[in-house]
Amino acid sequence: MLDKKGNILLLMYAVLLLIVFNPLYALSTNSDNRVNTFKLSFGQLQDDIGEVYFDAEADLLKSGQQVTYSIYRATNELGENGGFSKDNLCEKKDGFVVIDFKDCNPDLEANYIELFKKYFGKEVKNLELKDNYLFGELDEGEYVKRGEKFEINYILSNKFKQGVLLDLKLLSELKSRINNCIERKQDLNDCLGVEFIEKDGYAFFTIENDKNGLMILEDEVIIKKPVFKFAVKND
Amino acid sequence: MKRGQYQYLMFVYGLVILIIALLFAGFLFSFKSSTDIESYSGYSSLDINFLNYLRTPVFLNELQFSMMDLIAYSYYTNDFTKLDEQTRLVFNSLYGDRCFWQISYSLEDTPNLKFHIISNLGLLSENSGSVRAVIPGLKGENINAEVREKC
Repeated sequence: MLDKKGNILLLMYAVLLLIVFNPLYALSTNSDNRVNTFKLSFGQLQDDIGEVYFDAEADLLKSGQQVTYSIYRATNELGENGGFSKDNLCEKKDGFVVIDFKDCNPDLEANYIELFKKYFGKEVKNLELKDNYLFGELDEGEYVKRGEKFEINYILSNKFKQGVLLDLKLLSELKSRINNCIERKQDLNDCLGVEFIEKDGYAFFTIENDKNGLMILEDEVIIKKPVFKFAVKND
Repeated sequence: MKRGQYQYLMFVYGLVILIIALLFAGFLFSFKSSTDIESYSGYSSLDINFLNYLRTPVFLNELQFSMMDLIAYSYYTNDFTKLDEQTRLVFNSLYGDRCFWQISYSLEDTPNLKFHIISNLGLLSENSGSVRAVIPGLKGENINAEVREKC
């Protein structure tokens, strides 16, 4: 049983509890405190985060696909014209552009970038071609969502890296090897080890990509393998 | 007041204060949401499934493309056979018999005029969960693709 001292301590304990918990109760009913703000937004916030993420991903997908279509067209034009644009002034033989290693000696990577810019039509920052991949940066996306007690502000940079569907590095090397063979007056058949068709003093090369396809819209949709076509004089 | 009665009252008083304090604490630290997450029709994996569907690789004439390419290709050729086949393959393996699903395509300028609809069991009502994405076409026009599900 409690004595008088114990009774006083119990009373003090009860009073202390009241002093501590009354402000806590007041705090719990205050709508401005962070716990209550969090409780109000919980659920709606998570739902809106999902929506913002989806909107951002869908926009990335859309701009990525726009890049893809420009790559299809740039790759097709570069490949069909021996590394040049279709309005080039080089000699043509049976529909193949003749590379003479003087006036008609394309810089494949530089020409590819120019063709991509022409077809994409929008400004691309830091556009560069490296290891057969095209890198660039488009305008960043900003996604804002406001709830009753929260605001989501999501800024997403829009960088892309897409394969150009032709091995430009290998093609440049092949071009150099052909040039070396011609300068040394060696027979291309013995010198190169690459298949080509000989006709009327010209060697016709068609280098194919093995897996990916191109989809081009002209009068109708054309699906084709990316190819790199060119000819060289082989007297 | 007798000594015994006084002690008894003090004990009850202390107990009442303790119970009230515990109730306050319980109320203060309860994390019961004002919103029930499960009641949100939009909160599902439909978004992710749809993005993955659009990214799915497909083969046309033995060449690799994406589902977005196939949608654009089908629109221009007006031949939806391959798109139907590939879409059913993706969504049937995803949902099995558990859900109804429907995917429709329209031009962005005429969203109510669907040029093609694929579903596993008829058309779904407007109140089913849905997400939509815009896919660029080969000529620069935009194609709306919308997926609905009811599980």
